[in-house]
Amino acid sequence: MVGQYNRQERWLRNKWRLMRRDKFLLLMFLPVMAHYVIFSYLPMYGVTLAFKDYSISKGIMGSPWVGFEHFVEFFQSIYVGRLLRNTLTINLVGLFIGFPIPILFAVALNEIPANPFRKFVQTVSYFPNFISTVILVSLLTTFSNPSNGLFTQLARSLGYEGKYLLSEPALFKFFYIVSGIWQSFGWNSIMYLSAITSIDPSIYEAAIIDGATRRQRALHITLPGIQNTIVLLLLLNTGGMFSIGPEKVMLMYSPALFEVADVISTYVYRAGIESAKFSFSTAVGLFNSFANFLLLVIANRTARKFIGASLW
Amino acid sequence: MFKRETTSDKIFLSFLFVVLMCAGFITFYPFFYVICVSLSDPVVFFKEGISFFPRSISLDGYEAVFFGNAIWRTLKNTAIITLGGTSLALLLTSMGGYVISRKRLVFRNFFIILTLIPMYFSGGMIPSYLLILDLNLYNTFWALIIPGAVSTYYIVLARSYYDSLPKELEESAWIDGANDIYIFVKIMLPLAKPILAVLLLYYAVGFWNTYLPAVMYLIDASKHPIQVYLANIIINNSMAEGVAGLARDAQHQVAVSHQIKYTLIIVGIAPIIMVYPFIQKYLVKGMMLGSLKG
Repeated sequence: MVGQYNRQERWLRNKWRLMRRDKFLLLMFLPVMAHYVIFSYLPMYGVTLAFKDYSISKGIMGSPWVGFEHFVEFFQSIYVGRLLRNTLTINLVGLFIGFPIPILFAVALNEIPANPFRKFVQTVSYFPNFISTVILVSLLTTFSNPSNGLFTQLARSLGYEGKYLLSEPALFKFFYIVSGIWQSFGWNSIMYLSAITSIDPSIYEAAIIDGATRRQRALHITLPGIQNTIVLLLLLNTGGMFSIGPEKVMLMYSPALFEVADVISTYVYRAGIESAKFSFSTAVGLFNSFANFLLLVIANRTARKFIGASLW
Repeated sequence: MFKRETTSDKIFLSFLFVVLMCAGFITFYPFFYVICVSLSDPVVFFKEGISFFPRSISLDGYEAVFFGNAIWRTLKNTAIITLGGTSLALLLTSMGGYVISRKRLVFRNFFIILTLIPMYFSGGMIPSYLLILDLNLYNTFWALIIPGAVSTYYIVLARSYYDSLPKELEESAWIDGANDIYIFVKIMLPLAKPILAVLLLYYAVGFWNTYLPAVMYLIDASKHPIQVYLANIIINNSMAEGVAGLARDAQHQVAVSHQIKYTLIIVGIAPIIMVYPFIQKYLVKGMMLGSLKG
């Protein structure tokens, strides 16, 4: 009797049975699955455009293959240097300055007993995280106004003689990075704060008995106590080195600033959406995604090796 | 606990106190300043500026912002996008998270991987753009609503939440003969209010803040949501209707066109400011739920 059905058939019959049992679950998941297939996976197929010479009349499938032609064109273009430079500089400097700040903020918050002042500072510091990019850049723009802006007044008192702070090439990356830190340091500190609360309080008590000052406790207990979280987040952030979204840069830059402000994603936007060079821009975008993906995988492997934790 | 604060402790604490004061100030003052400017008399502000409180209070700014049709149309568009998007997103995300949380689900691992891969690799801007064109969603609100309605990160959040509910709920209902849809709607959803609140807030803020997709896909200016409207006036310096419409004289017009940018910023964040003190704890809770995975 058993010999009648081979293993494959049994596996299939079992799956059918389970599918019938779970039919409503599968039904409920259908729209979600459709969404993923259409909006996440179909574009992945569209990535093949990067290797073709796309013509709208022929569609994706009908367009001829050209291999790595677009990638060669990109790496030989005069823009590649500044794109890579801007993308990596902004991310690296931003990481260098911006990474410690939420940590220090969390440690500082932790030392203060829970009182209205601390609650106020926390609440207020989380808020910038929820304003849109447009509002953030609007704040920068209005504060840099040549006549009345807050920043302009401050800069003038320090000797600035130019007109419009935001159009100074030397300051673009500064504004971009610092405004980003301002927006996210409060919200990012939550992760560290919750890690701090999981440190064993008896270590602190023992240290106090041994005469450790607050400063010593913060440096030698709190910080090492959350080092796993710190390392994990550091690795994750490093994995995003090639990743800058176009929105904020687009709102802040102008052709005069391209040399310091143009990043890979904004170049993709202009080449693709504005100039309709679909194949070429897809290739550049693919390069970007791929570099990102590679870095993330490396970051994850490293995280798993060093602290046994990872993203997934 | 017996503890003496040494001088070193006091200095350290004062230093930290100053640090926190600075942190609180720099995140609070910009918004406070903009609110005060928006409530100032435009001409007075233009001539003299303010430091903290308005020199003379006036609602001219708000009158100018709400003058004319453009702002109302814009708000209507934004409401459609935000409400439509959030509802769709809540439905899909809570259903998706629930289904995946059921450990007995056939092909469960496949579905999990299906949702995980797009977090690390995506087709990119251009293929997504071409897809919207091909689907005939160009220049429609759907182009803004549908793609943003499912986010793996939030599905994982929902799934963690459903995992934390007791297994007996489903088991006893199953024994009583209920099917999965009944269990989800009548038992799980009512219990999911905390996570639904968190998801609602995250998605709503996200849709309210939409900018780039609107610029890419909505060609008609009459369809622009609020962020595009704000960006055009504040960053790209186009003229708001109320500036010309309400101007008393040339000087007044210049002052109003200057001040209206501040007032518009307030309009852009007004909903978030108003609900923020009440919902803050939900937003934080959502963040903690998400960080548990790491």
